[in-house]
Amino acid sequence: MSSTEQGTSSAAPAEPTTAPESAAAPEVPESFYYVHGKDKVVHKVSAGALQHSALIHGMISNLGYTEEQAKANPFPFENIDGDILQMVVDWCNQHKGKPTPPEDTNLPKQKEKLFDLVLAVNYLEIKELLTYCCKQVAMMVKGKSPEEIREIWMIPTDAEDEAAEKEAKKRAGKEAAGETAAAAGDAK
Amino acid sequence: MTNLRFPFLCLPNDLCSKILKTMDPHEIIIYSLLSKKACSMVKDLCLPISSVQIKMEKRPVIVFHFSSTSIIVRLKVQKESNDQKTRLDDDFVRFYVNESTSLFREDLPIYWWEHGKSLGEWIQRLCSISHNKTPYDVEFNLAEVDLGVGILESCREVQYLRNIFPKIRNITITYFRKFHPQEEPNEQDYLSVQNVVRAFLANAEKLTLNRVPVGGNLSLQHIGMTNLKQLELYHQRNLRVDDLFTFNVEICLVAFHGITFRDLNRFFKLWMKGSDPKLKELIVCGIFAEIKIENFVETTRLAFSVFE
Repeated sequence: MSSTEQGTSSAAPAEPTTAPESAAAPEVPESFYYVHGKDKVVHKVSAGALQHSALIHGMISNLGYTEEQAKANPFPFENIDGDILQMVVDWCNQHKGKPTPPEDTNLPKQKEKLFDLVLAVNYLEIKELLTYCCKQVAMMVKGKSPEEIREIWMIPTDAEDEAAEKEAKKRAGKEAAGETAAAAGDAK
Repeated sequence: MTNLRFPFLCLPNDLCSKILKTMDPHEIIIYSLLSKKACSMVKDLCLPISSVQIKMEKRPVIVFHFSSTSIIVRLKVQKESNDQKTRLDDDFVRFYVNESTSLFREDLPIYWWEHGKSLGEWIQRLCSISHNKTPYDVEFNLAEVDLGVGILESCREVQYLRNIFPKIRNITITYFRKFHPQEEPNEQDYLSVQNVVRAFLANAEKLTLNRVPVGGNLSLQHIGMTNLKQLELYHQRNLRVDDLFTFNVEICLVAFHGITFRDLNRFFKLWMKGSDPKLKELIVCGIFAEIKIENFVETTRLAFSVFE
């Protein structure tokens, strides 16, 4: 994943690679924040780009970090894979301060990662990107027959659902019986 | 078939709903057919369906009306001959889904075969996707569809029909044979009529009967006594003037009936005197040799159409 003007990646949280300062708005220096995912690779992102994420925006507003504090304490998103976070950061940088177009051509193309991306975007509360991702998921089944939709979206049949439910009930019953037996053993 | 997989149901419910909402109405309806869970998810979306029309004929049709478009779902069951009536327990259903943005144009023909569920079960599923207040208009052509059911005891047959179809606002029952129009109705046809009336009349606002065989435990008087807003009777040859006195409806239309003008005149006179106070509007269409209408009550609107 290529670095953008505002954001780069590095392996060490303490020494993130700095990107050239933005040429725009030289009077007010732009503040940067740092985020990392499961892989601990730190991404430097401008506050403008992070505006897209309601979650991070809320965190920034509440914390009131200085540049140094932000550098020392990158926001940890342990539930998001590094490459997914990179995609999200790239998208935020590309759409920084711009109105989001109705059809986005900068969406990540790796459909295999769409599931993780949707979850990450939903967690980070990036409304526009979530809308695009949802459209991408919907496009996967456009013009498909029910059987194809079932296969692509992995929808079980009623019989499979019922079997899974029975299995779950059986398992829950066994677990409950095991717990009762253990409790009786403890009492003895 | 594509190799791409997406575990849609592993997403949180709100995300699944968000994705479904970005899809076209016909795609959402197709999705609802995949499983009970899928159907319930679609129901939770509260689709803006303004009304639903169902035509229960040889090849049943369900039309979902949205504000700017209509989704037409045609169902076809495999039959050995054209004479065989369509039954709710028929298996092996072929689906045709179309979208119609105007009266004359249908796009997106999508079709496929489904088996493992009966026609009744498919109709039940399709009807369950709209919210409870959606008005349903259903037309039963009982010359082509057998609703005598026959697989259950008679008291359970009514419940069986109620489970499949939702509460129906407007019911139209016709008896029209395309292939053998002269053939007389049989016992099973009478039973079908009785079952439909017993199952749905209580919640209906409007009932239309067209050439319907009414007999046995059911009469036009029984039907007219129900608290209907509107009753329309076409080609009901067994209609007598005495039946009109018993009707408990606000608007009544009788067309191509067997009532003589003399009898009708007698009814009008008594109506003017105050019998049948609930009846506000009576529309009579027929062929009369002599017309004589006198002193109608001013407060009562009366439309009297005559076909020479």
